[in-house]
Amino acid sequence: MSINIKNLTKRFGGFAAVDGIDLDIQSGELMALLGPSGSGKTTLLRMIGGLDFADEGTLLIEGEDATVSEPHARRVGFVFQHYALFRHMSVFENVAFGLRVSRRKPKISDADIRTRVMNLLELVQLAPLSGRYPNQLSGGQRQRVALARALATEPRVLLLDEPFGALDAKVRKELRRWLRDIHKGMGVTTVFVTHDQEEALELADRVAILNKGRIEQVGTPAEVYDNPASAFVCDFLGGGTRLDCVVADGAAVIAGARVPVVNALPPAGPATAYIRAHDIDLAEPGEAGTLSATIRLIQPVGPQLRLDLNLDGKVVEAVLDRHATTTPLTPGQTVSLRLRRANVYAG
Amino acid sequence: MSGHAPKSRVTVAEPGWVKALIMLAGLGFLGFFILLPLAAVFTEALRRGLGAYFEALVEPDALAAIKLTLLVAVIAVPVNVVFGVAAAWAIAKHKFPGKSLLLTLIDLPFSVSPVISGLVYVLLFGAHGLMGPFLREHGVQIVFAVPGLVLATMFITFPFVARELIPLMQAQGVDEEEAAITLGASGWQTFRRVTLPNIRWGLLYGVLLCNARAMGEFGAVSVVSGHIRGETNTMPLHVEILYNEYNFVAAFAVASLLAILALVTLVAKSLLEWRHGAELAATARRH
Repeated sequence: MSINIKNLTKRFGGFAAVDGIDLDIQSGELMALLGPSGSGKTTLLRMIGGLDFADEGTLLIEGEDATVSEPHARRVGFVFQHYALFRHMSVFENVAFGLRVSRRKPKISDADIRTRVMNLLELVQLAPLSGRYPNQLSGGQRQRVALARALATEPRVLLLDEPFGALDAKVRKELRRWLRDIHKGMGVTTVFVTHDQEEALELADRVAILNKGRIEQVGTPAEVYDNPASAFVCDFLGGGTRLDCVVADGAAVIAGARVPVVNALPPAGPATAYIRAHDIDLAEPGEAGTLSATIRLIQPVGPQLRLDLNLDGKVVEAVLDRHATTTPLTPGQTVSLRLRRANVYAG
Repeated sequence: MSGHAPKSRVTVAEPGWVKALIMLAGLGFLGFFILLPLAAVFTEALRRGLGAYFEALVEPDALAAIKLTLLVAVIAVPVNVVFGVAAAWAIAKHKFPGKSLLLTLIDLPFSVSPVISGLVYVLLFGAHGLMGPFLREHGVQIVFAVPGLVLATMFITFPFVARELIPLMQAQGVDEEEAAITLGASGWQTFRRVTLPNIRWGLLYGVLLCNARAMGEFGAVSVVSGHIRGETNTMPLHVEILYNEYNFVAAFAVASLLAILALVTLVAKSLLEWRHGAELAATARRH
């Protein structure tokens, strides 16, 4: 069920939370809306779900104009950030709610409701807990109830607001995998909001990166990571260290060393370069095109060796493969760095 | 709600005798101002034995006062439940211009002297009041009749339910309602299946307080009543009349009914706070 968004705008007072957004979401796609808080991603999601209404622009769901239609007419499932489970209803009744209030004629029989709900609870692996109340469940279990509840009405579109925001790292990882499996199994068009770039890149088919109510870039996780369209996107997707550079003769020059540029080169002159921690290698001292830096801090983290380096007074972060690094390193030592690649933006 | 308050780990430094003194002062105050008068009510009522006590209660004017009080409460409390729920719902779950004005207006009966509230109705609906001639033409009597008593009582008690529910509903937010709406529920279904069950204990609490006040109200009711025996005297007014006639046993017998109502309300309130404190949390902090 495709979603087509044209020039969608929402203002709160004088402030445009969503400012003329165009976005096409394909049928069956798993789309992430990624951005910092205040970027308008949740407002956009709420407008798709019919909880907020646009001041300007149009929203089509499956080709039908849904800009001003009521939430129930849109047939979307919404999973709220804090789950919003009905606190006075059991897990079973929470999931059954959408079926009980359904305006479909004829009414769904109790037996059918029971079968549907229990099937969904099987799916989210909560069948044994169907009699529990929300306050008797863990965060991960509540999230799964919320998902089952949203799926019960067989929505055309599933919308999730920061679905894993309130969970600890381990549960989050499990639920991510599990959401992807469910999405694959049901094929329902899914849009989720997150501020966690790793989550967006890991889970989504495509990612839309929002900033100040506008879309900065839309693309597959690989596209947006490899080719950030703007300094904001690059920074937000873990751009690494930001260094001043000069663009000249078709390359970026950082502290006298020429560094290969990944993205479209901005016009000659001063510019800003982003170097990711993984794109820094140690080089032989005195080798051409290298930079000299001092080690401030060495931190072995699992398979990685994290270095904080001092490069002309700027702190540069580098991540090396711990087992491939044979040279002994000590804090205070001066080393040569090779910057493998950089993203460079004007200004 | 001491059960929910974090246990203080600060060591109390005061010596034992200071603590004992403070406690004694507290209990003494409570005994002197609450328990003693309460005991006095029942002692006075039973001074001439159970026979005289019950006789005072089944006397026609007393029965009429009891019936009238119940009638007024039976009308005023449900009306205020509807109004209170509607106002709390509007204030807690929606944004609209004039919201703070509405909040202030809800508090008005708390800040105005009940006598003034009663007078306002006399000025509005009395024989020489603004609407007096119109009402007389249509043969409607409000002041010095049951409608006036109901109106005055409603005015005095209308903050109880709303004031109880507003903080509760604000704390609960609109998430569950929004969830219900995305699941296809209509506005009414959302209210009945989600909003109402979430506030039921808070609502009951508000109803208890509202009812206690509706039955016990004196000032405003006294102004609009006209004190017609057997017709427009509620229990508190009847108590006053009996007392002024030096009929102490009867006065305290009727008063004891009000005292029993107060005790029942107190027990029910404590039960609610004990069983469903979490759902009244906003209130427990305030009172």
